[in-house]
Amino acid sequence: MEERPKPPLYNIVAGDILYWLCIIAAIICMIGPCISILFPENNVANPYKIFDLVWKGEKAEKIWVETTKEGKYPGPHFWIKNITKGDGITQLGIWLGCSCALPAAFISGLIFLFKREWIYWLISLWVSFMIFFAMLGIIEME
Amino acid sequence: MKKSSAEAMALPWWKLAFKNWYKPPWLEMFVVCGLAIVVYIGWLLLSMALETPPGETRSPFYISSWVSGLFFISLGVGFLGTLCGIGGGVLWSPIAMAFTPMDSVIIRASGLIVAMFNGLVASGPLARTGMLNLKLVFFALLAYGLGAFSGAQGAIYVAKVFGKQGEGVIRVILSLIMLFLVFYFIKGGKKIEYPEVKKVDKFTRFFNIPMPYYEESLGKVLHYQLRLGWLLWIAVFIIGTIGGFFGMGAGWAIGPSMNVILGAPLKVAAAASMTMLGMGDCIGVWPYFIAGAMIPIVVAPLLAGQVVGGILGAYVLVGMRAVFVRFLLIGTLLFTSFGLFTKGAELLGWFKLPIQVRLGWLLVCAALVFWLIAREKKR
Repeated sequence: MEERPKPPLYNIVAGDILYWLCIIAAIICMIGPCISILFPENNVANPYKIFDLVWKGEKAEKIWVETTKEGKYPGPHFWIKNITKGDGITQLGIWLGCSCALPAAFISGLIFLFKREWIYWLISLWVSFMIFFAMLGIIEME
Repeated sequence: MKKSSAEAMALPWWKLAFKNWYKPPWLEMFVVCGLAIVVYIGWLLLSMALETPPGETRSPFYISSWVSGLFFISLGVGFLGTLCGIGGGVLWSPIAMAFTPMDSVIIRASGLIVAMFNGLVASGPLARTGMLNLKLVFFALLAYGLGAFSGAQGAIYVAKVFGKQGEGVIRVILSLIMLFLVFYFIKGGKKIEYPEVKKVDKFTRFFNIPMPYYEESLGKVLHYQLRLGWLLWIAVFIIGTIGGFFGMGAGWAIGPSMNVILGAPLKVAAAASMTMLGMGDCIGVWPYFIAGAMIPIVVAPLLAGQVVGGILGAYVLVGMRAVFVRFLLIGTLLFTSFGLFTKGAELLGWFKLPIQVRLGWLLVCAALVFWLIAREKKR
């Protein structure tokens, strides 16, 4: 039987980062809604009104207007200022999951750099920047 | 090492899981599945005893039912999507658009979540086996990221500019894509397990993508070559735009493209496709996030369902007859395609069908699935 080739370090590092961040994100996403329902006052948006509006087919903009005290969408990173709130915790889970490719691409890119694989270092850097700029809302067509 | 791999071959996966429950990956599998049972079943039952908060018209049980319901739908979609190797997005978005009154931007935002997470969670184990080629992932990601992002932006633009008419047109186009997929799955696709690449072009050679891996079924190390990298970029960009626009992911097309165009072995293409979709959708999902289409309490159970469904699906996949799953998928897509078309027609003011016709079509689709399975068994 032939000996198994050892997977390269960048493979293992990227795979493990994606895997563990997804697991952590899923756990946070399970706990967050329970806190939201249990403490309805402790939320950015009222969870008791959201589903009615969603099933009415209302647009996201209107849902945020009608369910938040400020009457507007607080932005994708609202969990930073509301980490003790139910939907702040939930948003952290989603945010973490949706950005897990950023550390995976960036750190595996560093390994490519040390291995002098320039082209893949550049590509991973490009991917990291794409995710980063998309997160900040800098890359927008509108 | 030899002992554990022999043990792995002898025991079914669930026995192996219970025996090694304290070791990764079983430990995290038990934690996630256990927590899912506590939250989505235990909490649901507990919420029946909670009183409605003052000033609210809905009870905690009502909200918990929707949260648990979305989780179980996502679990089913993620499980089926993993078994079919196409991701969950291709099922979730069309089904939600056809049979719920939800706004299409919210559906597509949640669709991307559904499309990306079962692929992402599979990346860890695949990377350790060496079947996942990260260079191939990055190579394809260059084109896919741009396509998915443009598609997502286009979707938000169309929804804002065209309003209800745009919603109707999107549903009708998506129904036609679904119909195309039905024919694609009936035909089975032109997949080759180990394609033979005779000539490697300069462009593809420059990227030095191939990475040998140990192929369990052959019991040897597989060295492979790749070709036509530039053509793959064009194909992946187009697929990414469609996936980002309709929020349906692109698992149904990326794997086969890598296999047929690039000449990657089927398993390598499938592994790279799953990881690439997950990473690429991390770009495509942010315009929806920034537009406010990610409603936390709606999206969170979908995300959790995909992670649990992805993990369970990957283990069940080993002993499953793929052909039966394919028939089930054909039936689901056919039913969804019809639902999407009629919903689109209704929004455009063409015609409105009574519920009896939809139910009748559901029976026709179910009968077709049973007939296909019975025919396969006879063979």
